[in-house]
Order: sequence, then C-alpha cells, then structure tokens
Amino acid sequence: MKKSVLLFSIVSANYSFANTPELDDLSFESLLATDVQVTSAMKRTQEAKETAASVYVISQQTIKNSGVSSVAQALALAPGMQVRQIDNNKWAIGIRNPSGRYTSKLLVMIDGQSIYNPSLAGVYWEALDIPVYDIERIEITRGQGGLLWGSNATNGVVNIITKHSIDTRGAYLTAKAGNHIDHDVSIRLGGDVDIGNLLSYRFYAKKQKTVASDQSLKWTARDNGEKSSVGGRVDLAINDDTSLLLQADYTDITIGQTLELVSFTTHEGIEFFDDEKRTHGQIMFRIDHRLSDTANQMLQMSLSKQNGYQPYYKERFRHYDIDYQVNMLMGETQFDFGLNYRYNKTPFTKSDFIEPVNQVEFIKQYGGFLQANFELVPEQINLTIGNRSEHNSLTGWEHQPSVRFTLDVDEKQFFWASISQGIRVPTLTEVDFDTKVNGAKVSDIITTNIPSIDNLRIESYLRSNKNIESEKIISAEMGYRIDESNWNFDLSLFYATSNNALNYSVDVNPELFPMLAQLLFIQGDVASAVEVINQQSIDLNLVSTLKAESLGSEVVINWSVHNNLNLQLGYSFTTFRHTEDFSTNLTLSGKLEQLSLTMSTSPAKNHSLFSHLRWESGELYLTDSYAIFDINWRWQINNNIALSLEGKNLLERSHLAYARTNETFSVPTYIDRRIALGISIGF
Amino acid sequence: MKCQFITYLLLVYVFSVSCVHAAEREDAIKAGLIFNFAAYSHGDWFNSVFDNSYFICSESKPFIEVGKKVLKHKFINNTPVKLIHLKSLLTSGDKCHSYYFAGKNVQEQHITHVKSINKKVMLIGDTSAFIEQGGHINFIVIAGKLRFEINPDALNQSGINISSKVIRLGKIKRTSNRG
Repeated sequence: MKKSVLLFSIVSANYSFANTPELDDLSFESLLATDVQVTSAMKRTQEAKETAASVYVISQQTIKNSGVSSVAQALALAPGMQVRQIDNNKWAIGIRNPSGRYTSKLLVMIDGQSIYNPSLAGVYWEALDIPVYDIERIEITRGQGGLLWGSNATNGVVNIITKHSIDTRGAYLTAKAGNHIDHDVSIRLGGDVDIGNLLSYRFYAKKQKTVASDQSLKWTARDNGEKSSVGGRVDLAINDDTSLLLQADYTDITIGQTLELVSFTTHEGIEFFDDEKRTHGQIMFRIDHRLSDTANQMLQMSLSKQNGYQPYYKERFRHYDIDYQVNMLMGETQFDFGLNYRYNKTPFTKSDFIEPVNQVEFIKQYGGFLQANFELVPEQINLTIGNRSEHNSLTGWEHQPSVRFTLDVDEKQFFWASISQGIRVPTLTEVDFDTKVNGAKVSDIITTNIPSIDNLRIESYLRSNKNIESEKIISAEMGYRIDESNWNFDLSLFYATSNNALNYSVDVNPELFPMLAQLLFIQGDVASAVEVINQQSIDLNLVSTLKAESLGSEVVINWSVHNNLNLQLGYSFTTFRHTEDFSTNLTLSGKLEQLSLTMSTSPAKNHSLFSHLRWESGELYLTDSYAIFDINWRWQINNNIALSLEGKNLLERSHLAYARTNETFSVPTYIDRRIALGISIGF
Repeated sequence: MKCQFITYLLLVYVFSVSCVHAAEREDAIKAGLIFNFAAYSHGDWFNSVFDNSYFICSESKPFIEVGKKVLKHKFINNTPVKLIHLKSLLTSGDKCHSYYFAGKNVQEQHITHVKSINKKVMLIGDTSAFIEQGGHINFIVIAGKLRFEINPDALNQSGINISSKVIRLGKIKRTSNRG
C-alpha cells in the first residue's frame, strides 16, 4: 500500500514536471502581482478563474476609473453584493442575504486582519477610512469561507488587500469637492531605504467633511460627517526568503444622525439627534518566511481598539489575535494548516436603552484548520478537503468541514462544486444585551375599537439568551466558467439550509386580555384599563430555533468589445424561506434580485469613462425597487496630474435605499444625486 | 532497512520534482519580465528593421526551456522573440539583445566579458551585487513577489532608453560610471 502511494506520487510528479506553469497575462502589473511560489501565505494560491468558489475581484484599475472614494462604494460595483446606504454615513452590506446595519454573516478583513466587531455584530463601515488609491484589489468570496477564514464567514468574505509599500513610493495628493462633499483631501508619502533586500514605507493622512442629505424617512436629516485618518505601512524584505510587514491605521469620526429612541413615558419611538463619535485604531505585524521552494510559513499578530459613543450605547472594544499558517507543496498535493487565537474584550457600560445582563466581558476563540488539495487527474481534476475546528467561549467547539471539487473541462471551461458547513457565532446582542425597543401597540395584540386604548404602546424589550446556539449553515454550491479571449462567463448556483437561525418568542402577560375585557366591556372603566396597560411589558425573547433555507444564483459576463471598451453584465437573485410556519422580523423570507451593467472605456487618449447602472429589488428592505446610475470621467493630463468628474445617483433627485427601521436606531435618509470634482497629483 | 532507504530516496525524488516545478514558475515570471523590459525600451541596441529576431540569451538551460514556452509567438516591435542557450557564462553572446545571468555564481568578470563582446546588450541578473558589478537590472524577491533593481544610467550607456514606467516600478540603483 505504501509503495503504491509512493509510485502514484512519482507518476503524478513526473507528469507535472513536463508542464510549464501558465501565465495568462504577461503585463507588467500582472507579473509583479504574481506570487513566485505556488503556495501563498494568504490562503490565495490561484487565479480567481481557477478557484472552487464564487469569487469576484475588484481591481485597482476599476477602483481608479470608477471614482469611488470608500470601500463601501467600491463593493457596490461587485455583482451579488448587497450594498445599501442607510444615510450619508452608514451602510448595510451583505452577501446572499438582506444586508443590515449589523450583519454577522460577512467577514471583512484588511490584509488578513479581521475588522469584524462581535458586540453589535458586523463592521462599522463609516469608520473604515483607508485611502482607496492604496488598495491593490478587493477579493470577494460569495458563500462559505469558514474553513480558511473562521466563524461568521457563512455568507461571504471580503478581503481588502492594500498595495505593497514598494509600489507606493513618492508623493501623492488628492482633493475632491462637490454638492455633497465639502472637502475630501489626502496626502501620502512613500519611499525606500537600503536595508536588507529593501525597506519601503508609506504614510498617509486624510480628512473629509460631508453635508447632510436633503430628506429623511422621518423628521429632519442630520447625517453630515467629519472624518480624519492617519496611517502607514512599512515593509522590510530581510532577504529573498523573509519579509516583515508592519501596518497601522487610526480613524476619528464624528457623524450626525437622526435616531428613533424609545420614550420612557409613551414607549413610542421619538426623534432624537446626537452625533455618533468613534475612534478606531489597529496595528498589524506579519512575518512571511519561505522555508523552501515548496513551502512557506506566516505569523501574523494584530491589535485593534474601537471606541464608540452613541446616546444608546458606549463601547470600548479591544481585539487581539494571532495567526500562524504553513503552506506546502508535496508533489502535486498542497497542504495548508494553521492555528489561531483571538481575544475580544468587550466591556460595556449600561445605558438607558441597552443593559448587559449576563456580564459577558470577553469572547475567546482558538482553533486550527487543515486543508489538502489533491490533483486526482493532473491538470484536470482537483479535490480539496479540509476542516476548521474552533472553540469559542460562548458556544464551545464548532466545526466547519468543506469538500471542493474542480474540473478543467478544457483550456477555456472550468467547473467547480462544493459542500461545506459554516458557523455563525452569536453576538453580544443575542447573549448578553437586553434592549429597550419601540413598544408594541395594543392594536397589534388586541383590537378594542377604543382609539385611546388601541393606540397605547406597551413597554417592550428584546431579551438576550445566554443559551443561544450558533447557527449552522450547510451550503451546496456549484459554478461554471468560460474564459474566451475577449469574453468570459461566470455562473454560480447555491442552496443553503440553516439550523438554529435567530428568532424570538413573544411573552405577553396572559392575564392582560381578561383584565382588559373586564374593565372595558363590562365595567366601562377606560382610565383603569389605561393604568393596567401602562404597568405591562412585553418580552421578545431571542431563541435559536428557526430553520431556514436559501437558494440563488450569480451570473457575470465580461465582454471586451474592443481594446478601448469593456462591458460587464451581472445578475443575481436569492430567495429565502423559513421551513417553520411563522414569520419573523429577524430571519426574513422573500426574494432579493439585482441586475447591473458596467461600462469602462477610453474615448480618447488619456481619458477614461466609467459608468455603472444597477437595478435592485426593494421588497426585503421595505423600499421601492430602484435603479441607480453612476458615471466617472477621468483625464490623465500628464504623468503627474489627473482630473475627475463624477456623478452618482443620476437617475433620480433622491431615492430611499433602506427602510428597515426596526433593525437599527438610525433613521434612514434619502440618498441624493451627487456631483463632485476631483484632482490627484503624484510625483 | 532496505525498504526504508528506498522509501527515503523516493521521497527525496518527489520533493525534488516539486522544487523543479516551483523553480519553473519563477523562471516563467522572469521570462515575462525580461520580455517587458525589452518591450518598454527603445534605442540602438535593437533595430527591428535589420534584426530578424529579438534574442534573449542565458547560460541556464531550464530558464531557456521555460522561456521558450512562455514567450512563444511573442513579438517586440513586430520582431519575433527567440531564446538562445549559451553553454557557459564565458560563451560568446554577440547576437544577444538581452542576457540573463541566472544562478548565484555570477562574477564581475562574466559581466565584463559579455560587455566586451557586445557593448549594446541588456544585462539582467539575480545576485545581490549584480548592479555594482556592471549589470543593468537585478531581480529581487520581496514578500514572495518578484521585483527588480534598475540602473537607468548604465542602460543609457548601452544604448537602451527604458520607459519611465519601468523605472518607477523598480528600485533605482546608481553606480559610478563603468565602461
């Protein structure tokens, strides 16, 4: 048995020796971005077109030509991404499920460092303020990413990869202003020093001030904003085999907002306005070491501090993590394994609206993963199997196994399929916080036909549950790609079932209805009935008992019409339903649909024109379906100076993108039509 | 004991084949970059009217084998690219337009020898002192990716004007004038 295994290895190794590695793109930029080794410490070893997952890459060229000025805006360019602006500052972003202000199914990283916040769940997109011109690419994986990236990557992974500092030497200044932007300025300085193979660095500073929208869903729009950020990166190549990376960023934001907070007397949501203030700081250190031509290892450590002030919530979040990973090639078989430890410190100060009841002040996670990629038929059929096992202090051990299969049908056609389990770990809101929410109207429970009774609201709370289980999602996916010389086609299909999805049970005093009936219909004593109602409370108790399923698809077609014109058509849909016989506001049912058309052209030398048209269904966001049209013209005047003129949301004066007000205290605003003029100078 | 020894030999063989596969990848990227260095240059070191082919030379046979496949059907100024294997570092390379010194055994005398035969040739290497020894472009590996050091002055002296785009992408290294 042992000999036959070895013979198999020799045969497959010999076969591979006869084949030269393929480089489809011999452009400078592509070659400089290609890893010298087949194994890569960043868990990315293949081109997107050969990956057994639904992936999309937003390139730096697209970021530059589109004129986007934030990561959130850039993500809207990717077909299948659910990107909704809540107001001028806040975003709801997700994949394969209705996005929310707080979504715990999308893992977001910068250069492999997670920026996910487990307290209220999700990412504070308004505080993610890295300069977009320093982003090399954004890799989006739609679907399960749990094996490689950990928990809470059940619906997707966004990895923002910044440029190596050797590629950002010199000075670079940008400035932008428009009807929505008072000013947006930044400066970046970079250089190199002869230490080791090379030490290179860059530092940046940026400042932005924006004005409020014209119209709010309710009351007055106050979503202006001010942001300041500084940061930098240092790369040291000690020798050909070892390199170090040190990266740090600090952001300070003050953003206006209109909130709907509960009145303590009427239990009704009332207008409240106060700024949100946040400071985010993070630092990351990584060492990459090439063990041999076929193996490398990586050690990464990071620290993040997020402080937030809201009228309803004060937050001091600390996150430490350490990751170690080895990638190696043995013959044609690739092995990856890693260990990780994460410590999230989440001290919380009680507020009038949110109270910690189970005193969860930290969440610890540790675990590891192992993955093997086997070439069953050389250059044709690959099988990847693996598992991640992770222990967290809320739910214990969780496992995320995965099997992926790829088939190179021929040089141009590629087929892949996978089945995997992903885990969503509960958030602090679910296990520790009792939250005061808008009171339920009496008429939602019982109709008395007495307006002074029916319009009363009963004090209501969303109650946490320390016994909430993690949500387990089993996902089956498949995809097919065709790559021709001037067009390509990418189709993904998926079906996912979820156990222990989040829901709540309603707990109302059973004596309430007989008491009201007695007082109102027998005694006619309205005043006493009002007094009884004011003494009641309703508990919405979080439970993890729901079963749900989703089914959907993404299609992307790229067509290079000729050298100067590229078109991209994207379509995605997802349907959701519960497999139990009741509805809930927490786990939605319905359908999401999106259609997009992107055009990128160079109408004249040194000019580029980028346009993006997108239609979105509104059902699950409680809005109308709408279409948006963005356009950006860029003129590279000379090697150093470029001008840009952008228009966003040009089809309508304003539109509402998000209206699920029960999910957030923030009151959404209408997103206005925007025009901005920008200049960038590099030397 | 015999079985263990055979097993060890077989494992070494498997690993060594893996190493060759990995080295081919690096050679493929280098071949692509060498092609780009030429494509983004102009000057009298190469005349597409009189030269039938653009010759890339190296004493490394594995590099030439890989380069032939990667640069098959590639052209520079409508002139086909061809790769030539030279038997040693001291073999005459008078036809070469680009010369790649592979390996770590390159010494200054090898570079001087090539220059003495052919003053107008683009010299590319991957040893730490290659630029100081008179070379023009030197490959380095940074964070697992290939980058390069470049001496634009030395290139100009060899009749090669390389695009500022290439210079910006590399690390400029200037030395005192060499012949």
